[in-house]
Amino acid sequence: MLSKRWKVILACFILALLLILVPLLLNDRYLHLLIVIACNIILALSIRLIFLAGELNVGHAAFMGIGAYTSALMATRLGLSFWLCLPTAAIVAALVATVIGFLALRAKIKGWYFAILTLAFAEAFRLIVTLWKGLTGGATGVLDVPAPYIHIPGLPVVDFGPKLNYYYLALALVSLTWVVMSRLEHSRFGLTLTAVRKSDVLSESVAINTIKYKVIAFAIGCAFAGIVGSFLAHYYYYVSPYEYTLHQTLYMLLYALFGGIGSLAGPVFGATILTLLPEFLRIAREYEPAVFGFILIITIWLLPDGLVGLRKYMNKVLVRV
Amino acid sequence: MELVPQIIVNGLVSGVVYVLIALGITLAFSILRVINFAHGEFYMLGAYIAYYFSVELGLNYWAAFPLAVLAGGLLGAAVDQVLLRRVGRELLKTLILTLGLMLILQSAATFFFGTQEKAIPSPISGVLRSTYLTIPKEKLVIVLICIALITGLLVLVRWTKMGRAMRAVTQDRDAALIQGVNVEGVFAVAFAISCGLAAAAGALMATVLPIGPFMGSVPLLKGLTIIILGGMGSIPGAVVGGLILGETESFITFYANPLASQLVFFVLIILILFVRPRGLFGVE
Repeated sequence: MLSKRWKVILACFILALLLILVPLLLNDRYLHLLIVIACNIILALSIRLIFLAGELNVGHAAFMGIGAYTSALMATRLGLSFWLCLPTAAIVAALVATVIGFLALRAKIKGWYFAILTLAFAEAFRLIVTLWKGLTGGATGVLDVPAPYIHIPGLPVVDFGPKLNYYYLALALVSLTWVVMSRLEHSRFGLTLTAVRKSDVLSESVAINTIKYKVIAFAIGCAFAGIVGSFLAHYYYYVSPYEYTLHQTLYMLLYALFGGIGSLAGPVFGATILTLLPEFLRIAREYEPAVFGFILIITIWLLPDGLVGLRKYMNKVLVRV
Repeated sequence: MELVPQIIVNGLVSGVVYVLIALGITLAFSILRVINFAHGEFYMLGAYIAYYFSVELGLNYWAAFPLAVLAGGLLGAAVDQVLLRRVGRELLKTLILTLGLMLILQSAATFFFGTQEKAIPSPISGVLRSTYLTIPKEKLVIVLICIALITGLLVLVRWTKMGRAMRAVTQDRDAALIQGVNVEGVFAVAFAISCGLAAAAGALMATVLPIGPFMGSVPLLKGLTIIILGGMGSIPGAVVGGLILGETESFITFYANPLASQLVFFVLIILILFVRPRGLFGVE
């Protein structure tokens, strides 16, 4: 018998092998789906982190938009490389989040007020982007965002024309997100966040700087949203203000909640299943929101801990039987 | 400058409708401690129900209007008792539930009526004209009905037994329960009134604006701006805030453009939250 530790390592190894090898056999349509799933997983994990700090970011899509516009403008106007644009997009999103989060939380804006503030910020962002035609191209957006490429002297140029290369990039980004999130969660930082969420008054009484922890969680969450924004801008070759709406944020929340926010695996399952669902059910595009709305309500109603919670519940029932 | 009275009157018309929407949001917030993010969809629903009865079934508009209000109110009570009660009206869960409801109602409207915009022919025609002012009679009627509804709500809250129970629950839920107030009943009635007011606003505006499945998002955001401006949970705040917003919007739309006036609102929300989070009339 293998010890538990070795079993986990083996399982991870097999999973990694599958994730690397299987896509070699897939056609573009499925590769595209996998890429979208990867992005949604990152978004769900990052919105969950902010959730863990006890605040709801209703403007998560706007931070994705900030990343997308930063990256797209840097690449098209300044001609900079994608590998410079991506981290900058993350940093800019995180900086904006830090400023907003710090000012808001210091002014005791939390709970409903924080939700409304982020909603207002997201709508303001969308309108500014639409109105500021000189910089952002207005409603048309930024077109012809170049695809990334890797050029190491002495080696052939890796061009990101084929979807497979994008897939590996997305896989790398998901892995990065997973590692960062799980390291955060299992550190002192994660424990402190839980304390802050459960009661910020009590946390303050044991000398935890609640504002600091909330702002850091908010900034890190938004940085990952910025990364996805930047990635998608280069993947779709354009950005426009219509991509970063309240609906987008709702979907991210749904992925996280449906899977269950109690664990890291929850948002991963949630994002994967719910991204595949409309694809396989072949729901007409205009009724997709209704299906998602129903899932959202039923999740909150019947599965307060999401899918992951369902397994625990089933275990309990089976034990009783 | 001779246009100024006209701009003021236009602002008043949209202002009183905003007051109706904001009063609904503020009522639900002060009594149930929830913000209904599907509030704008009840507005949309009111418009569609009025459209369905008056245009598709050929009823008189004045018969369709109360039906729309009633339907909005009943659905509101059902949403509160079936959905919100179940999750204990907890902040995050309520927010997510009502956001889900928003998606469903928007899709339902698309399903039944399509994305093409509908219109209700105005039940009243004719224009009042003076030197500086032209007021379509229908807008005058909208203002009068809104004022009647607002007064009705104020009377209800101030002078009836139900109103007293509402104020008691707002002050202290548990103390009210101990005194024998049917708290769940108050919640249901308050949420029904809140949604009914939104439906009324929608049904009224349907006679002057096009009806579409996504018409609710703008009123929701305006309602939120108003209650943040006036103070969350404050009735006078909602009334004054609504009128200020209506006038400001009317002037900015006239001198700049509608998108700019929307942007001003969001910036306003953000600024008020930072500078004076309790709003003009809020207490805390």
